[in-house]
Amino acid sequence: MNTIDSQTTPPSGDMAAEYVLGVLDARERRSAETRIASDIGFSREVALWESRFMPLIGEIAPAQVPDYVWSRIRSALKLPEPGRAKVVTAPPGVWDSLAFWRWLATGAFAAAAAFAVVVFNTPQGIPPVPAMQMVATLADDNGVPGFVAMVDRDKARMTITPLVPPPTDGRAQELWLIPEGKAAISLGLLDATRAQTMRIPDELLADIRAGALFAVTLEPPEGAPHAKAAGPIIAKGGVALL
Amino acid sequence: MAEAESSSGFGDNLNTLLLEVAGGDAVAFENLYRTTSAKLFGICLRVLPQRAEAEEVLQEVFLGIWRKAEQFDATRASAMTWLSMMTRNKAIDRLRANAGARAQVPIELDEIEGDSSASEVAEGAQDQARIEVCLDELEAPRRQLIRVAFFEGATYEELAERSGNPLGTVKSWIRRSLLKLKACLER
Repeated sequence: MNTIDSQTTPPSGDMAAEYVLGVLDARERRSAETRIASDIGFSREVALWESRFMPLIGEIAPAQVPDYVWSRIRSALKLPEPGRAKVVTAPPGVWDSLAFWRWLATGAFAAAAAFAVVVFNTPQGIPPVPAMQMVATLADDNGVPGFVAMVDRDKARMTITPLVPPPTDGRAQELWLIPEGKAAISLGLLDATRAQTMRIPDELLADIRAGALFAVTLEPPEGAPHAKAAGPIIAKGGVALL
Repeated sequence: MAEAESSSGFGDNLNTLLLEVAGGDAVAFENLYRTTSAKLFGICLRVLPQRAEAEEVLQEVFLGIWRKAEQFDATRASAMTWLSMMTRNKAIDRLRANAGARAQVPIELDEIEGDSSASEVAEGAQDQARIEVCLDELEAPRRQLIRVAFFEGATYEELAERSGNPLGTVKSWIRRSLLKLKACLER
């Protein structure tokens, strides 16, 4: 097993090593996987190579996962939503704070949601704001958050807060709802300079749920809301249950 | 085989979490997600630079973990190895499914010896892992190809194309390198 072939003849492949290294094509990978399932010796070889290569995984930097990924997993598995009933109140003012929205748009949010009660309840005697049931962080292709949308389905309202500077080329930001498996529907133009609350038309309410996306495109201000987006998408994000 | 991890509390905790997940514990599952998803997402992104694809694969991985956690065998692999390799495999499968979708970044093979990228690494570990010591023993261009193959899940064809070498040459380099690695790892 340990012999190295002579330097003149190309050695035949060690399939377990090649599988773990990642050089096999789709068909070869299938046959390797069949062998893993049926050939205990081969599957041990694979496990051995995996543990040998594992230290290299240490070189890979962790990356921040958008919050909606966990929401999708949870809804796909129909897992309970721990703590959902608790996250209902916030002192007025917090929703208007840009720092808060920026914080919300970072991944810290999901982890912190469980502790939201502690954060939100500190000032006493302040009337609770309505339940905000859904949230979407709209980010660009590099994952930089551009907008945060909070949806209160009971009141058929949503608040959208810009985190990026307004466009400078005369185009306007148009907000789109993309229900799962359906075409985008314009929700109208955004005021690029401040947070705004908009009414959600009743017929769209049912479409705003986990699996739906919000997107913002750059469009000419004339003729909005447009039937179809023509400009570039500057930010998009999935709707997640809070 | 997973001495480094199983000796630490982190590895033990992951093993326990996985066992609890296998028993259908949703809280343990969420803890496992909070603990490992960023690392596993990093693995997905190395193979699939398109974030949306990487996110989908990460989602698949966790659906798979929930359903197959009972297949985890702590006597054969550490929890993190099992999770990382499953993630890598799913990402590579996705990459193969849309072949050609990835931008073909040329691989400039170093001809200069000595500059080992492997030794820059090893966060937390003082000593170089055995694999890194053994990779350092390879000639620089071979080591580079092995690293690109491992981190990006590149096929022989892709490595040949991106490095501008004939397929037969690349195959032969990599296979010889794997034999050398094996001999070194078993020393």
